[in-house]
This record gives sequence, structure tokens and C-alpha cells, in this order.
Amino acid sequence: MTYIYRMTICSLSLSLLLILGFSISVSAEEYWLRAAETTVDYPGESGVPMWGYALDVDNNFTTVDGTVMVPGPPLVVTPGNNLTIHLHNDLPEATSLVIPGQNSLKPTPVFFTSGPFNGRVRSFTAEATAAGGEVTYVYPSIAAGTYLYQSGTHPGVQVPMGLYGALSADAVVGQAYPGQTYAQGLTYLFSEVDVAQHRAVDDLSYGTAAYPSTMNEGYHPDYFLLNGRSYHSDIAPAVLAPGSQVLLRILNAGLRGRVPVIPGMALEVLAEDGNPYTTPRIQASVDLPAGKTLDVRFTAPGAGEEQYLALFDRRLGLSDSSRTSQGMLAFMSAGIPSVNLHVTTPASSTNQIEMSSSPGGISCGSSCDQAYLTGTEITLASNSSGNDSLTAWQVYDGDPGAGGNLLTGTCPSLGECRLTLSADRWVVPVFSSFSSLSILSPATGDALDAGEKYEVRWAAPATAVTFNVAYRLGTGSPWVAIVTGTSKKEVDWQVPVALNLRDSGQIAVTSFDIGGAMLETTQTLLGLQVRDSVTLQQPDGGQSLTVGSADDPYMIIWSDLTTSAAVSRVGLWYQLSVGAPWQFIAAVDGNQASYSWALPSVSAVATEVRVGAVLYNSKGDVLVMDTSDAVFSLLPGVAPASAGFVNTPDVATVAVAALVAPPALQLQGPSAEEVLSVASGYTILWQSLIEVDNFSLSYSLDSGKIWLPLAQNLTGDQYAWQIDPVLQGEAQVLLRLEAFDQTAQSLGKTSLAEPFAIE
Amino acid sequence: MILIKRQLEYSGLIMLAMLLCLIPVSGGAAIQGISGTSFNFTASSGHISAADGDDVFFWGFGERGKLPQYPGPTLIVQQGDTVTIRLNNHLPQNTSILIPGFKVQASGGTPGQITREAPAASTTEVVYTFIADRPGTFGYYSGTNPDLQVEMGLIGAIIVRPSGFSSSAPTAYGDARTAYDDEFLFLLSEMDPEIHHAVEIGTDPVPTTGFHPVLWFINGRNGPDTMSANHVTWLPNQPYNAMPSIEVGKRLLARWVGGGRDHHPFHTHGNNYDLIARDGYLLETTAGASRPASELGTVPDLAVSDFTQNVAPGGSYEGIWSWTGAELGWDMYGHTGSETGVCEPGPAPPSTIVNGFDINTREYCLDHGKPLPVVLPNAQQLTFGGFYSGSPFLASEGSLPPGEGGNNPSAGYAFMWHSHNEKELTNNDIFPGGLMTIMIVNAPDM
Repeated sequence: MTYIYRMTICSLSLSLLLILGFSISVSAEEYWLRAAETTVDYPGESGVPMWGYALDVDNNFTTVDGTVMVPGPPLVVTPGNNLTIHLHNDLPEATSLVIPGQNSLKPTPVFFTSGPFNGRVRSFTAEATAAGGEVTYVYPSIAAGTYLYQSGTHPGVQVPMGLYGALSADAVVGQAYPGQTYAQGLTYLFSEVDVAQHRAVDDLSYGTAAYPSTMNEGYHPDYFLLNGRSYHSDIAPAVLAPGSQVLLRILNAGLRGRVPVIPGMALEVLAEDGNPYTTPRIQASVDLPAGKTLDVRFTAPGAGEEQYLALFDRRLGLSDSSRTSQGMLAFMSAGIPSVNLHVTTPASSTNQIEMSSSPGGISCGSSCDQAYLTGTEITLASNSSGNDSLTAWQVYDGDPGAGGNLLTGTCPSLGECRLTLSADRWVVPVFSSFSSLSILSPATGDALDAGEKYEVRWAAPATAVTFNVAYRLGTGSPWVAIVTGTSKKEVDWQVPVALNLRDSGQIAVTSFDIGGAMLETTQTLLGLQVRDSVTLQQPDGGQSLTVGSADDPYMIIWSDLTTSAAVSRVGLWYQLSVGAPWQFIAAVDGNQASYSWALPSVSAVATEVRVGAVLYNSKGDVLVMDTSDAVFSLLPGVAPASAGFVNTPDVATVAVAALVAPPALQLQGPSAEEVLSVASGYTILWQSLIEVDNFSLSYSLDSGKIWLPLAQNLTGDQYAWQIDPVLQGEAQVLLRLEAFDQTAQSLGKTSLAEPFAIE
Repeated sequence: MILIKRQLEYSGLIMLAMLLCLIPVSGGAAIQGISGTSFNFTASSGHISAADGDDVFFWGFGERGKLPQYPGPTLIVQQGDTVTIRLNNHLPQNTSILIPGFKVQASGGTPGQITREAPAASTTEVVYTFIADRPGTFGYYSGTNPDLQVEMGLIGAIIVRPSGFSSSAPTAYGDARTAYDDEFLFLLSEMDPEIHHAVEIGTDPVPTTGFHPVLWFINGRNGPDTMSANHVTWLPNQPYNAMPSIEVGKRLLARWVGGGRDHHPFHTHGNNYDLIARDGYLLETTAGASRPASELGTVPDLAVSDFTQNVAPGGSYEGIWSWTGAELGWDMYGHTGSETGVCEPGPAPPSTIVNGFDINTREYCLDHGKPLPVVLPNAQQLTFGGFYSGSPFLASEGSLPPGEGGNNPSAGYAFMWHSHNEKELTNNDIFPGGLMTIMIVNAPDM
């Protein structure tokens, strides 16, 4: 979602100077401030009424000039000097200005003289009356430190509306307080916006049932601001010189406490509210209640340790309710950035490139060039509205218009572009306009690996508002929904661990308009590959393991599935001789690839031992399995097995002790709801945990009463079945696998549990 | 008639027996956690049990291959260790770990907004490495969408033992000012179950601006589950309890960590504590500077004596707490003063008094033999709490009506330790509950 932060260049650059920590050139002891209404756009909310201060440009109020800003302009004063503030009020109610902690000007409160609050304080000090009133404050002697200036009138309304700013006064140039030196100063002013409160103040319903009061439960901030902004990726990181002493002036103009933290940094709190401590406190995070100011010093990481630092509120004033901005978060570059990233501005303003990783600085449209520390790994993401979608990331090592080379293979995914900035880079996002629904990835004819996760992306014209996405494993198979009613144009799809080769898998996307009426549907044809996805690596045959010796416990290792999210549990079994029953070793979590096996006691040497690994999904179905390629030996030991090794069964292991022993034969065929197509054929797969000479396949058309031969003398583990067209229309088909030894003795049979159909 | 009475007695006994099984007996309890230098974590989802009977969907860190837990595993490492945490992630969004007290190197995974992340629903690991270069108590928590993920439960604590740590003479920072006899961790947090429900049903995005907690936790449990034993089978995702106890005259190290997003004012009934450190930094003017503790021994010279600790989110604190009964004004054992071998004055030996306390009973000898200054009403004019032993004297039991008491088998003195934000003593508006537990001060094992 794009938003526009409405500020003029003048006030924008002032704020940027504040964030970047350069000293403001204006260090006057006299300021002309105009309190007035303005509006600010926040992500997802435009035109939010605010009250702020403008710094008058020509130091008099005869002409209305200066841009109203929230927070107000920074005031920088030399301690001991006097400070004169002229306040002009264009607000619809009286206002005043106070600086808590600056006590050389005694406040002269103004009282109500009539009405329901007669006799009570209306303003903490002298007022400027509504709609044009003016007042002047003269502070004879300013104290050193960091202070909030803010409205002293109706503060429950006027301060949250935006009438606040920072005043700083260094004791001596380069010293915040006597003896407390620093090289670089940054100001972080925390505040909040409750949009309902602001709109109620603006439309005069504040104080009615619509919004009774800031003081009761109704106050509900929607946006959390640092220096007036909720973090968005267009905000460039502040630059710190390596190893320098950095002074943070931290102020809280909001109504809720905050806890700023910079992970990894030791923060030295020098002062509270302009009052220096005798002994500075060192903490990892600092306490910032409402209205508090802190002066905090830390040492930026030195040369050789260049990195980005994050400052954020540990009280978690972060995401707004649409989660499109990240609130009280800011980044600093400890080190001078030297690598440049340039993003080509998209032609249409409805397309946006954002940096979705730290440290931000790119939000193109508005911020398309930024320098970074060498080696920074960043992620870019695209946002489109209208008819456009991103169809490619082009990344160049030089200016594309001046001979830069296209780096093919960089950023192949349409989702995110991840770059390691070891040298200057130019990124050209390619957008295309789509007048009809189109699947961008996977592309037609792509072969996807079963069990892997893929990003499905599509493009659609602006009239399409929501989408349904579904897949089917073959023509004639039923559609299975991946996501329904999504407003995004992408979804992650975990390709099912289809245990058979398919070449006619499909994805379909359907679009709907804002009223929910179906607009279009489109499909793409894919190949779905089976993967032989587990290999037992050890013990794989030939080992001689002695129980209770250094071999014990023995590490069983199997190869990892790339996306074992489909695998819920791995069962480990052993058998002491060929044909012996499998004995359970353990069940382990699906993403482990090894297990420390306490060898079982054996009374005599066992020479035909095998281990098997069986992978199960979350429903308990067997997915794939593998056994030792050849037998190994177990020798009885003298010492007790695994002395000192405690294999503590945890809750998870105990819960699956009831795993079924792996079958000797496993037939993988169509599942119950599948419908095979005579036109496309089918590959039948099987696995066995016993030694077999050959297999045969048969089929039944009546749920297993009569079996007809399909294929004999099969070796290997699969059979490509060309389905006889005469079988079209059969609805109760079963398959059966039988295994034979060299003497044609049957070693066992297995058949599918539920019938399938052929059309 | 007789039959019915016997049945009542048996049921009272059975209830007592059940309660005794649940309440751990006194003694120095260690911090529950896992030791080492290399840890494998998985972030995944599960349910925790709130003490109002509700199940709350949560996201938690757990040791690889084990259940996710709330809070995540407490890590116990040694000063100077290089600690590595490998994290993978079964949650539907990326996650990560921040350990703000240390400079952490992150590698692997994908670049995230604040630190590197473990991608959603994947086995890809992100690896965090840091040198535990200073001792103390530290928090860790997710650095991805923290306003959502910290709420969902992705939090935990790390204890760093000082160089040369000895479990027979433990200290928090290596010297006598931070020495203790027992230690306890209090990781404080809160939850708004509506946010958890929205995540559970797949709402996206889940706003957290309307955060309104109704459940409060110490070490991942609501009161009174805080007082059950560690690792009870009926709280499989909440392994840690929060049931401190100490012997009279000993020093207890309280480690507080703000795990959630709210401040909690933790109140230690019974006595003040001396706050000795914040975020692993001792409160001292110069290294080694000390002052006498409020009660026993010494503490760093800038230690603050207080009875309520404002635990800020993300902050960690350590305090030394003792209870000696000094100046109580009456003999806490009910001694008459005619006992031999107790509070014997005179030059040592046979004197048993050191620094004003008896070396065996640890009673304050100026109060030895002083009677209880009140006459206790008879039992029918009293109401009883579950922690009354039947006698006002330490380590003494008295008769109680059937079914009363039972929570204090060692007959220690029970002090409620709790959040002084009283609303936090409820489980979804039901009192008692929430952020509360009981500290029991026991007589010395003699």
C-alpha cells in the first residue's frame, strides 16, 4: 500500500537533518513559532488533523509563513543565555507554551472565569488567545539539557494533537553536561496518534459520547511515531562515525511509557529531564515514561565492526493496525556507507519497490538511491496496484544506460529480490500491464518437485480484487484449494508429496470483483515429479558394532528432506536377521537427520542386521522409507550398554510409541478420491524393506474379489502403466503388488486400501 | 454417624496428600534451564493452559525435537563462553531471536527487518552467536514483528554465571557483594487471548494496537499454577514454576526479567531487597565498591533498597533478599528462654551468638525467649489461609480444622510475592490468580 507523507522540502529536510544528526545551523536565542492546524497522511489514513508549530521564516508574524510541522522545529540554545519565544496562535482555541524543567520563567496560570470550570486552571502559563492571539515568553537563563516544549493549555487535547517539540542546550560545545563529551548527537522524539481522537477534535465531537476524553479508556493510539513518522522503508539510516561517542536526546511526548533499546549496545544514561546523574547508569534499555527526557550516550562500533544498529521501543509501539508501517523503529549505520544501490523509478506511480529488510532507505517512488555498508544483504519487494504486476527483476553491475552488465540469475523469483551489496548495483524492476488474469509463476510446463514449496504468483487487472487458487494432480483428479478469497497476488504452495509421476498437474487461479462476482479463471499445465527423498546413510552395511564399546551409542544418519515440513515424524527400526520382525528404536521429529542409537543387547553375534528409516506425515501415513543397503553386524559387549548415556524419552517420543511396524511392502498408487485419466497414464511405485527378486502387479475391478494380471517379472521400484482404454468408466479399481524370491515363492502381497476410478 | 465422620477425615487427608504432592517442599531450588554452549531451537505452535481453565494458542521456542514451551528454554552459560543458538521455524511467518544484552552475530536464514530470520515453515536454520562476556540475567525474544510475536510467547531468559562460579558458594558477579544461597528467576509477562485466537484462526494481518491483557504470568504460568512443581505432566508446554523459598538468615538472589510488553511492579512481601544490578550492570560507583546490605552481608555501593521492583519490558534486574526476623519483638520459635545451647551469651565457646544471631537456629538473640505479644483467639474464631501451619512459630505446626492449611508442610513463614498492579492478580477477571506466588521462609535444616 502506498501513502504520501505530506511535507514541504523545507520541513522534510529539517527533519532529515534531525535524524541524520547534523547540527542545526540556526542557534538563535529568539524564535517565532506559529501554532496552527495541519493535516498529515499516515499509512492507511489520509488527512489526519494535527496541530503543530511552524517556524516563522522572516521572524515576524505580519506574513503567514513557515510550514506547520509535528513535532515542532528543534530549538537549540546556549545554556545561561536567555531564550525568547514569540507564539502566534491560529488555532480555534487559546494556547500557551511551557518547557517543563526550564524554571527561570515562573509560570503565570490563567483561570476560567465562568462556565462549568470557573476558577480552575485553563492554561499553566500566559496564553495566546484563539484565532490570532500572540504572547511572548522570556526565559532569563536556560539550563543545559534536553527538554520538551509543549502546549500548556488543555494539554489532554493539545499535546496529543501535536503541539510538542524538542529543546536542547549543550553545557559547552561538544559537552551535553559539564564533562560529558560527545561527538555526534541524534534526537529521538517518541509520540503517538489516536486518529479517532484527532478527527473528534477537528469535527468538534471531542467531549461528547463520540469521544468523551483522552483520559478514559477511549484513548487508543493507532500510530507510533519517532520524530513524527511511523517507520517506513523510505527512512534512511542515520550515519555514525565508527567508534564515536554518540549522544541520543530521547523525549516522550506521547501518553504512554516507552522503553527504547539498541540491541548489542550499552546505553549510558547521563541525565533525566535535564538533571545529570552523579554516576551515569549503564543499561541495555532505558525507561521513558510519558513526558520524560533522557540523555543517553553510547559508543558506536569501531572500525572493522561496521554494522547496522536498530533502535526500537521494547514496549512494542510498532505496527499500526494494518501492519504496513513499523512504528517506533529507526536504524543507524555504524560506519560510513560506501556501496550504492540504485533502483529505477517505476514509470507508474501505482508501482512501488520497498526494502523489506533492515536497514531500509529504499522506497521507490520516493527514495530510489541509497548508500550502504559493504556486504549488507538486503531484500527488495514490489507493490503494485492497478493493472500492473512485476514480471522481472533486472540487476546490473553498472548503470544500464551506460554499459552496465545484466547479472543473469540474480533475483530469479518474482517475490523478493535478495542482494548482497558487495559493489554498486542497479535494479530495474520490470512491470507489465495485464488486462486479463495471468499466472506468472510457475510457468507452463515447469516441473515441480513434490514436497517442495513454490511461490505461485499471478497478475490481474485492477477490477480483480480477490482470488481463489487451486491445484489438481491430473486431468480428471479433483481440484484441491490452495487459498480462497486472498487479496494478495501470491501464495506459497507446498506441492503435495505425490508419490507418483504426473505430467498433467495444473494450477488454476480464479478472480472475483469487489462484489464477489467471478471475473475470469485461468490454468497452467505443470509436471509434478516424485522424489526419492530419503537415504539411510549409516549404518549402510559392513559395520561391526560392539554393544557397550566406543561404538555405542551409534549415530544413525539419514539424508534430510529439503522441505521436511511434510514429514512429521521419522520412525527408526532394526531387524537382527533377514525376515525377522522389525524392532522399534525411536520416533524422532521430522526435521532431524540423525539419532543417537543406544545399541540393543544381543546374546550372540548377529550378522544380518539392518536399520530402516520410515518417514511419516502428520496423519501417520508412510511417505517414504529406506533401509541399510547391506547387512551389518552387532557383537555382544561386556560392559553395560551405553553406561552414562541417558536417552531421556520426551513427551513427543512416548506419544508415538504406538507406531505401526513398517510394512515389508509398500504400494504407492492413486488415493481414494483420485480419478485417473486413460489419456494420461500413471506410474505405479512401490518400496520394500525385504530382499526381493521380482514383483508382479495385478488389478481388480470389483474391490478385490477377482484379480487380473497387469505386469509380471518387474524389477526396480516403478511401473509406467499405460491404462487400457477398455477400463474407462471403472469406478472400483484396486491394485495389488506381490513379491517373489528367486524360486518364485511368494514373499508377500499388499494392495491399495481404497479403490479409485478411471475415466 | 461414625462412618460418615471417617469418610470426611479420609477426604481431608486425601486433599492434604494431593496438595502436598503439588507444593514442592522447601530447599534451595536451582534455576530450571539447559546448560551448554550450543543450543538448537525450533519455533512452533501449541497451547498453554491458563489457570482459569482456558487453553490459549501460543507460539514458542522449544528445544529441537521437543514441545514448544512458554517461556522458551532458560539457557545457563558461563562467562566467556561462545554461545551458539541455531533456530529453525515451523510457524507460518518468519521468526528470529534478539539478545539485546550482547553483541550477536547472525548468519544463515534470510535478512529480516531487525535481524536475520528463520524462514517460515522450513528447516532452514538461522544461527546466532555471541560471547557471553559478562555475567548476569538477560532476556531474549523474537525480533520479527515483535509486537505480535512477543505477545504470542516467543520469549525466554539467559543466565550467565561469573568466571570461577562455584555452585557450593555461588555469586552473581564473582564477589561477596553478590553472593547468595538460593536463586530464583521471575520472568514476567502477560497475554491478550483475543490476539492469540485471531492468529489461531488464520486472520491476516493481526492488529495488536488494541492490546488488552487479561492473563498474567510468572515463568509462563498464572497463579496458582505458579506454585505447582516444575515439569508437571498436566502443563507440558509450561515447564517452569515460580515457587521461591529460602531458609531464615540466608541470601536469596531474585532475577527479574520483563518478558512481555507491559511494566509490572513486583512486590516482595516480608522484607525489602537490595537491587544490585540492571541489565547485567552492577549498581556501583567503582568496581568493587560496597555497602552493607539491608539485612545480611554486603552489596554494591549503589544498590537500592526497595520493596517493589518496577520490571520494565526487556529489562532484567537482580536483587538480594533476606529474612532474619531481626527486631520482630518476640521469639519466632516460641522459645521460653530456658533452652540450653541456644543463644548462649559469653565469649565463644560455648557462646552460640555471632553478630547477634544464634549460629544454629539463626534467631535474633535479643528477642530470644520473648513471648508472642498477643493471645491467639481460639480456632473457631479464626479464618485460615492455606499457608497457615496452625502455629505462629517458625517450623511449628498446630492443630487445624480438617481440610484447612496443607500448603505449607514445612511450617515456614509465607509471604505473597506478586505484581502490585492489583488487576494483574486475576485470571480473566477471576481472583486470585495471575502474577502471584508465595515465598516461604523456612527454619534451618538442623
